[in-house]
Amino acid sequence: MKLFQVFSTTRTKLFVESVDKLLNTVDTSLILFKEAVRSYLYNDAESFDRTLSAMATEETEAGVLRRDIESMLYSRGTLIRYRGDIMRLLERYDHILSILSDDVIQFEIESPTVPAELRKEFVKLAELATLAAETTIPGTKAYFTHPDQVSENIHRVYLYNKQAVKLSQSIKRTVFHDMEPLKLSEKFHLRYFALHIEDLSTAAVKVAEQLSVMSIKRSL
Amino acid sequence: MFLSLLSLLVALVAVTLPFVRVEFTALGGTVVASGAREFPLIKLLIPLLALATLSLPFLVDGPWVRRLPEGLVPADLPSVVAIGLGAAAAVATATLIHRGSGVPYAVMGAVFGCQLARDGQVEWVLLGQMAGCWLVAPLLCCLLSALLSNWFQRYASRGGRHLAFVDRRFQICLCVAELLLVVSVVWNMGPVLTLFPLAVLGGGWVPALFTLFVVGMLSLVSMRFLLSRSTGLAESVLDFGPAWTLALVLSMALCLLLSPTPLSVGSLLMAGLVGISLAQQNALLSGEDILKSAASSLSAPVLGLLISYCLGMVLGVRADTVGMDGWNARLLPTLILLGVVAMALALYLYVRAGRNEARREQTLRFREEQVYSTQKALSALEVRVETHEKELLNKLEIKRKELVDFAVGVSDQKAFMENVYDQLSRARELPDGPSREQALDQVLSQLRDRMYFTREMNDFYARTEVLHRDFNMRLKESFPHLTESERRLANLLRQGFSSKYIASLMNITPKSVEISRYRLRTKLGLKRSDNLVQFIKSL
Repeated sequence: MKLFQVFSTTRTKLFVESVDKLLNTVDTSLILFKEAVRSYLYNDAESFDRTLSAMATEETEAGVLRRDIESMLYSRGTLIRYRGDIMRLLERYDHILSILSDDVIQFEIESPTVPAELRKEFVKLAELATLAAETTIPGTKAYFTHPDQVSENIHRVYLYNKQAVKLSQSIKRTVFHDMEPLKLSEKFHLRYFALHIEDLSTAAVKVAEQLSVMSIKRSL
Repeated sequence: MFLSLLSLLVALVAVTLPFVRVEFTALGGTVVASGAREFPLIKLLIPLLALATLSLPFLVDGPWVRRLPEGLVPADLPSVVAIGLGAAAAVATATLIHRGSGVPYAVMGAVFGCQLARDGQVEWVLLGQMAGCWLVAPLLCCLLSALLSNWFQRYASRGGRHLAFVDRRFQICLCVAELLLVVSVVWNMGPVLTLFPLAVLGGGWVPALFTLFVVGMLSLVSMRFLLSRSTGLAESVLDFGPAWTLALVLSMALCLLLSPTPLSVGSLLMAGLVGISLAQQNALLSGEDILKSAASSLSAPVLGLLISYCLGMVLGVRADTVGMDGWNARLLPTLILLGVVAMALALYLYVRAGRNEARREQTLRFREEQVYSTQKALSALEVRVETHEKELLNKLEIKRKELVDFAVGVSDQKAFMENVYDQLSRARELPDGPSREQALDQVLSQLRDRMYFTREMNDFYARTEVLHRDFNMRLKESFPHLTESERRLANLLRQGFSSKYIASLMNITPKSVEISRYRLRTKLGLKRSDNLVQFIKSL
C-alpha cells in the first residue's frame, strides 16, 4: 500500500538493480563502439552493421532505464538529498551514449577515407577514449558503495583522457603535415572524426568531475 | 461569562501564537530537512500525534501527564491576561534580536513575573531549577548531537553498503525520529496550556467545547507552519546529509523528553547545530548567529518577567484579589492597559506597514532600474546591430558595384581595343597621304580621350558619394551654394589626398588646386587661422 511505503525497501532494491543495469548497458555500448570502429577501419561491413543495430538497441534500453530511475527518484522518495546529483550523473552517461551512437552513425553515413597507416592510430584512439569512459563505471559504482575509492578511479579517467587527447593531436598533425596526397576536404574529414572520438573521453572527464563533486557532497 | 471567555481567549492567543509562529516554524524546518514530508503516512501521523499529545493533559490525569507546578498556575483571569500579554511582548522584543528566540522561556518568565506581582515574592528554588535546565539543555543537546553525528557519519561512510540502502535506513529512522520530535515538542510545551484556568468558565459543556475549539484552531494553524514550504529558521541552515539531520533531530527530541521544564525548539536547534559544527569541524552557523540566539534566549525570560510584573501591577493582581475573576473591580486599570496595548499594537502595525511599504518601493525601484538597464542595453544592441547591418549593406553595395564596374570596364576596354585595332588595321591598308594621316589622328585622339579617364573618374566620384553619403548630405545642407567641382574637392580633401594627387585626379594643375582650395575656404567662411581639412572632417 502506497501509504506505508515509507518502511518498504522493495523500491530501493529496484533502484539499485536499475542503476546497475544502466551502467552495464553503458559498458556494453562502449565495447560495441570499439568493435564498430575496428570493423569500419578494416572494412568488415557485416560486423559493422550488426554492431550498429546492437548499439541502437542498447541505447533504447538505456533510455528506458534512465526514465525508470528518474521516476523512482522523484516520485517515490528515494535518495531525496542525492537525487539531483544522481540524475545529473545519469544525464552525463546519456550524453556518452549519444556520442557513441552519433559517431558510429556518422561513420556509416559519411564513410570517411582513412589511410591504412592511420588505422592503428584510430583504433588506439577509440580504445583510449572508451577506456576513459569505462573507468567511470567502477567510479560510479564506488560512489554508491565505497565513496573513498572514487578519487582513484577519477584519477585514471583524467590520465586516459590526457593520452587520448595527445594521440588525437598526433593523428591531426600526421594528417595535416605528413599526408600530402590527401585532399584538404579529406584532411578535414579525418580531423573531424578524431575530434569526435576525442569528445568521448571529454564526456568521460565530465562524468568524473560530477562524481568528484558528488563524493565531496556525500562526505558533508 | 462572555467577558471571561473573551479574556481567556485573548490570553490563549497571546501565548500560543508565538509558539506557533516561532517554535513550530523551527520544528517545521527539521520536518523538511528530514524529508519526512515526502511520505503521506508521516504527513498524516504528525498532526494526529501532535493533537493526541496536546489533548492529553485535558483528557486524562496521572503521574506521567506533565503539568506546571501548582504554585505557578494562576487562578484568576487578570493574571492569565498579564502572563499572555507579557509573554507576547517579550517574544516580540526578543525576536528583534534573533528570530529563533525562546518562547517557552518568555512564557515562564511571565509566569514568574505575575507571581511576583501577585505574591510579592518568587519561588526562587523553582526559578533556579528552570534557569539551570534552560542552560543545561542546550549544552546537552550540543553534546548529544556531536556524539550522534560522529557515530552516524561513521556508519554512513563505512564502505560495503549501497548508498540507496544506507539512505533508506536513515530515511526510516528520520521519519520515526521526526515523529518522536513532534511528540516531544508538544509533550514538553503542552503544560503551558495548563496555565489557563478553565474552571472560571464554570461547569458543564462550555470548558470542553472551548478546549475542543482551541485545540482544533491550534492544530490548523500549526499545520500551516509544520508542513508549509516556508521553514523559517531552519530553512537556511539545515542543508546537509541525513546522518547529521538524524543526529540533530534525535538529540533535540531526547533533550525535550528529558527536560522537566518547557524548552525552546529554536535554541535546541542552534545548540545542536553548534555540536555538529564542532564534531565535524565544519561551521554550519556564524558566530554572530550563535551570539544573537543566546542573547535572545537569555533576554526572553527576563523581559517576560519584567513586562508581566508591570502588567500585573497595573491590573492589580494581588494575593487578596485572587479568586475575583470579575473585571468590574479592576475596570480602570483594565481600561488603561487595554488602551496601552491598543496603542502599542497600532504603533507596531503602523511601523510595520511603513517598513513594508518602503521595502516594496525599494524592490519596485530596483526592478524598474533593472528593466531600464536591460532596455537600455537592448536598445544599444539594436542600434549597434542596425549600424553594423547598414555598414555591411554599404560594403556589399560597393563590392557589388565594383564587380559590375569591373565587368563593364573589361568589356568596354575590350571593345575600345578592338575598335583601335580595326582603325589601325584600316589605316595601315590606306596609301600614304592625308587620308592615312587623318585616320591615325583619329586613333590618337581617341587614345588621348581615353587617357583623361573621364568615365573612371565619374565612377570614382559616384563611389565616394555612396561611401560618404552622410557627409555629402551634411555638406549640401550646410553649404548649398557650393558647385559640383567644389564638392568633389571637399570629398577628396576629406579622404586625405594631397594637392598633387588631387590635381592628377581632377585633371588640373597643382596651382589650380590651390586656387580651388582658396575659393572653397572663402565659400565655407573660414578664417586664415582655420584648417580647411580639419573643418571638412569635422562636418
